[in-house]
Order: sequence, then structure tokens, then C-alpha cells
Amino acid sequence: MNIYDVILRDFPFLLKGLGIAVILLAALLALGFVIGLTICLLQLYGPRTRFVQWPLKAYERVFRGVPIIIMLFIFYYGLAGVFDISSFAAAILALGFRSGAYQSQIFRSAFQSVPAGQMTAARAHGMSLAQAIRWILFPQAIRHAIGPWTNEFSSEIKETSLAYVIGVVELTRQAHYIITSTQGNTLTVFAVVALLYFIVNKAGNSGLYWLEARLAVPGFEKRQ
Amino acid sequence: MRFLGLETKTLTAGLILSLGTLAAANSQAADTYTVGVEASFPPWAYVEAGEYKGIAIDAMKKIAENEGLEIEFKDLPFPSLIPALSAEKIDILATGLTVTEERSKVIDFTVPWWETNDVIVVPEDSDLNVFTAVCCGANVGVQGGSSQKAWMEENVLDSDIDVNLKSYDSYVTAISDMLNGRLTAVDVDDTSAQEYINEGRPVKIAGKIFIRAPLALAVSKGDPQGLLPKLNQGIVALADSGQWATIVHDYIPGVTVPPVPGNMPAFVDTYAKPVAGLPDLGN
Amino acid sequence: MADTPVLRADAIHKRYADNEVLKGISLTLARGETKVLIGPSGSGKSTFLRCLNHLTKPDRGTIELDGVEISDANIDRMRARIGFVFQDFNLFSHLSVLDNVSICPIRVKRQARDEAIRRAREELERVGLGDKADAYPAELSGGQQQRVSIARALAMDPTLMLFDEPTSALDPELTGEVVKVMQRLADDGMTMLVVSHEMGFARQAADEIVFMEGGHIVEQGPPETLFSQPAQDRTRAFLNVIAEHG
Repeated sequence: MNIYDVILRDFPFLLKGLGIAVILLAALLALGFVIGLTICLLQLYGPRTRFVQWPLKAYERVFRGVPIIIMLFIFYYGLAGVFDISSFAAAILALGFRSGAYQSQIFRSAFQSVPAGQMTAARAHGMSLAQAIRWILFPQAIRHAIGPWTNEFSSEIKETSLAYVIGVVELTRQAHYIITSTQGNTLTVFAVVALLYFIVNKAGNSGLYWLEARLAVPGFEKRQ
Repeated sequence: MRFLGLETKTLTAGLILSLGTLAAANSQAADTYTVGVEASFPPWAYVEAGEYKGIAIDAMKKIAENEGLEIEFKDLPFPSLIPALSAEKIDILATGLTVTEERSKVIDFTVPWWETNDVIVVPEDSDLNVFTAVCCGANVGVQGGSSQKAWMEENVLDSDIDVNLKSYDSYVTAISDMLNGRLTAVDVDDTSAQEYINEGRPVKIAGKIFIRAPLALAVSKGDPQGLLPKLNQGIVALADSGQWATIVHDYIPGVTVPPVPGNMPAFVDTYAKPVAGLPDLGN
Repeated sequence: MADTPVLRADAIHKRYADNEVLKGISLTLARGETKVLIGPSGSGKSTFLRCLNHLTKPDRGTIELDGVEISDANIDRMRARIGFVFQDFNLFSHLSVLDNVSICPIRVKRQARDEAIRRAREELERVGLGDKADAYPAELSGGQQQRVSIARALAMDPTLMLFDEPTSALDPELTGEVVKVMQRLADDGMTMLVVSHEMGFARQAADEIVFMEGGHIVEQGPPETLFSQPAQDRTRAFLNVIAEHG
């Protein structure tokens, strides 16, 4: 059997690996979105006290500073004593928590680029802080955030391949199976894998550009 | 602002998904044992057409069947296997795992079921021998976390022999790199090397290092699940029935099957008398 | 109720570090009354206006709207009854004109969407921008934006309207359309407090002119008196400067 036949035969497994990678990506980005937005809102509009602000800062530093492999090990093996966590869940948590740290920065600068007058006007007409954020600031900030968020999307796709170190059988690991069971062909197999990653990245970016275009209103045109 | 509604829905879906995964972690049956394997380690364990294969896989299945154990396999990269056993993420480790003193301190070994020696693999057209391939500024590849790596560090690097040791996530990658001209030689176990050569790859064995390294299965330190007696009995019974030799020959035709149990080094505490499940054995 | 002023501010003080901006300002507005606050820049007019709905929190003093004191506890409800028009409009830039005018009634007053939209169209007609409902703020001239922001405030059915230099960010040829809208509002009986140097508006629409300087009210009175026979020298000096530049 030559390598192309093997790749063809095992293509469903590569696709399955791709599926795992995409689900992992979606879940970690969703978790990161919730955490990132929460941190950003607490930092910008939460209590100024050190008891709130310091842990947020520390969270950001830790998750941006510690190599992701170590985080994966901590979440998979370190949490083993606390509760039984699957490889996949540990990968979502480790990658999602870190993405949260990155996304909090994206959202923070997006919210900060909304002119102060928008908040003042919303509050002056009787909106509560929460209403002003929800109806006036968030819709504007999210438009500013889509661009940088697209970068985050692209870099997290690549990071999903690291989840194999704690036993998540995603695309790269499936590729590894083909390479080791045929004892070679590294280049051919990884070329196919690279193409698959590229397609997901392209599709995701196109989707986000579409969203950006759809949300564009005069005064919020897509910026170059 | 319709998109905000959409956003919320996506988010909720994501969260439910994440929670679902967390819950799934606990759903596996209590008396199914998880067998950790490095599934990119032929001929011991690998995946072909989506199925686990290899000597360790087939033998483990047979032992489980004979001893009445429910098992499932979990693939983890080699450097992660021993931490996984320590953290009790897996119950049994079944791969071409070499018995070493260092490892015996953190995990418990079953009786050895195989014995390997290491070989120095070089490209087919190379005229180096085992001495000239491992000296004089040569770049030698090993699999990270492997016994070959430990042996090279202990016996070559520490003796001030001028060699650059390079670690790879698998010996297969190391050999690929050698064929690309980035390595002089690769230090690998003889079983893997023979298999590789059988595939018709352009490599040859430059020489053998007789270390009589035993391979065995392993369980968490202290054998919390009480698996050691069953596994020990299972290994011996498998060999006695002749099934072991059949499995081995499925993967490496013509190879000499070492006696079971093999060489049991004194530094392994689980090899001290009486050996679990095999009271007649031991040092 | 008839005797209760719509707005009663009593002894409002505000200090930023060493700079005491408001040194005890008291002011009342009866229903339907329009007062215009004038004074040199830095006199505290805008700060005073922003103190009235706690956009700037006063250090001391009390503010009552229809006899109810404004506090942290009721501030959002009170603000919902006080229309505020900003110097630089501050329209919600991601929303269409129609949504700008209807969002606060929908979100703050929980008005039904259909009702809020219908009302928003009415208010846009009232400021002469019925045909701009679907435009976005960035597509409008400054004068149009300011008229939308007046419609936005009116859609909340305010008890009181505050205008913070509503025309000073506009090119001179655009001030007229805004002043006309304000003029008509005053004629319709809206209670208004306006910080402005539009002397034409002040003369025609104001029941009273209030001259502030250095954190004090120097002098107040009906426009005809204050403009022609100011009691204070400082008022006269200020009016001369305005006349030269106006």
C-alpha cells in the first residue's frame, strides 16, 4: 500500500481528528469569550478595590506567561486528585482559560476605544451601568474586537494540536498514527494535515469577515 | 442588534458542550480498567485504519480476556504515560516499556515479557560501525524519555564522548531526520529496528549494544487496584499457552521469543520474593 | 403640586482638588419656565448642569425634581425624567436614527417596541427629520445630529430638559435649525435649563437669564432687564465681550 492509498483509507480518521480539533477550538473560544469578557468588564467597570483588581491582573499574567504544555499537564494531571477530568475537558479548560486571558485584553482595548460620551449619554438617559454596557458599549466594542479576535481564532487553531500531550486524539495525533504505522512519510502526511488546518482557518476567517461586514454601519466600516 | 441574540445562543451551546464533556469524564464504568498506550510505537502499539494494533495491544487484550478484566485503551504520548499512571489517569501501562531503576521508583512493574537490546541504526549506504557512529561530534537521535536516551546519557555523554544527543517524540521521526541527513545515527531498540528494516526502509544496523533490557507492563505505584497478581499470572499463562509467541510472530515474523518471565533486575522492588501472583518466582 | 417647582437646586458645591468650581449655587425652575445660563468659560455653568442629574456628583447641596430629592438610590429613575442634550451630541453611533430615539424608551421605560417606534417617528417629525429615520449618525450633519439628540431626549417624556451648549460645536450656518427646535419647545411649554451663548434664543425664549462667574450666580433676571440694564459691572463686561464676538 503506498502512502496515498493509506491517506485515502485513513482520511475519515483524519477528518474525525479535525472534528475533535474544531470542537475543541469552538469550546475553548467560547469559554475564553465568557472569561475574557467578564475580566474586561470587571477591570473597566467593576469595583476598583485591590481585592478585585489584583486577582484579575494575576490571572492574566499567569495564563499568558505559563507555557501551554505545562498548563495542559496541570489541568489534566494536577486536577486528577480533585476530580476525574477527561483529557478533552482538561484541554478545553487549559486552552480556554488562557484564551480568556488573551481575549480580556482584546475586549479591554475594544471597550476603551468606544468614546466616553457614549457611556455618559446612555447613563444620562436613565440606563443603568449594566444596560449601558449591554445595549450601547458592547455592540460597539464587539465591532472593534472582531479584527483582533480573528487573530486569536487563527492562533488557537494551531494550539489545539498541543492537546495530544494529554491524550486528546485530534488531527495532529491522527496524522502521527499514519506516520508511525507506515514508518515514515512525515512530509506527505503533514502536508495533508496542513491543508486541513488551512481550510478551517480560512473558513473561520471568512466567517468572521462576513460577520464584520454584516455588522458594519456607517461610522463603523471595516477598518484596514 | 439581532446578532446579540445569536451570540448568546452560540455561547450557551458552547457552555453546554463544555459541561457535557466534563460530565462525560465520569461516565465510564467503574470496573473498566484504562490501559495507557503510546500508539505511535510499532510494533508494540500503533493505530492502523483507526484501530489499535501491536504486540502489546493484542497481548493485553488476550490477558484481559483470560483473566476476566474489562479494559479500554487510551493513547498518550510516551513522556506522558508515567505521569498518567502516577496520577491514576490510567490503570495499566502497556507499551514497549523498558524496566529501569528510576521508573521502578514511581510505578510498579509486572514480570518482564520481553527483552531488548539496543542497536545503532545508520543509513543503508553508511560505512560507520557502532563505534565510529557514536563519537567524534556525531549527531545521534533517540526517542525522548526512552531507555535508549537514558543509556546514551549515562554511558556516552557522561564519559565525555563527543556526541550531540537529539531527542525526538518518536524514533520514527528520528530516523526520518537521519535519512534527511540531519543525524549520523539513531539509537533504538532492536525489535523496532528489525521491524523498520523489514519494511524495506533504507537503513541498516551498525552494531548492537547488549543491555538485556527487560520490557514489562506497569501499574500505579503500590498497585492500588490489585492488578499486579492477575497481570503477572496472565503474562506467564499467555507465554505457556503459546499464544504469546503467535502474537509476536504476527508482528515480527521469525524473531526469537525470549523466555518469560525474562531477566528480572534486583533493583525492582516488585521482583523481590514473593512476586505478586507468582509465589514461586523471584530473586 | 402647583406650587412645587419642577427643579429646585439648593446650595450646590463642587470642588476638584484645589479648584472650587461651584460655590453654592441655588436655582429653581417652575413648570414651563425656560432659563438660560450664561457666563465666561470656567464659570461652572456646565459643571452645574451636569450636577443636576449627577453626571457629575456634587459635593454638597440638594437637588429636587418635582419635590423629590435626587439620590444614588433613585438616580436612574430621575435621569429618565431629565432630558439631556450634549454639546457634542453623543448619539449612539452604532444605531440608526430611529433606534437612537427609541432605545431608551424600550430599555429604560420598558415601552412596547411598536409604541416606542411610533413615538420615535413622531419626535423625529417634530424636529424635522422624519425622512432620516434609517440614517446613521455618521451620515448626518452636526445640526441634524443635534436635532436627533433632542428627539432622543423628548422621546422619554422628560419633566425637564437640560441643554449643555447645544450649538457651540456647530458651524454657524447650522445653529439656526437647532435653535429653532429649542425655541418651539420653549413655546410649547417645556421646562428648560439651557447653557448657551445664543443671545437671540436667550432674548426670545428665556423667562430668565442667569449670569454665572467664578462658581457664583452673579445676577439673574428677565432678558430685557439683564441685557439692557445689568445691575453688576461684571455682567456688563461679559455682555460686551459676547456682543463683540457674537
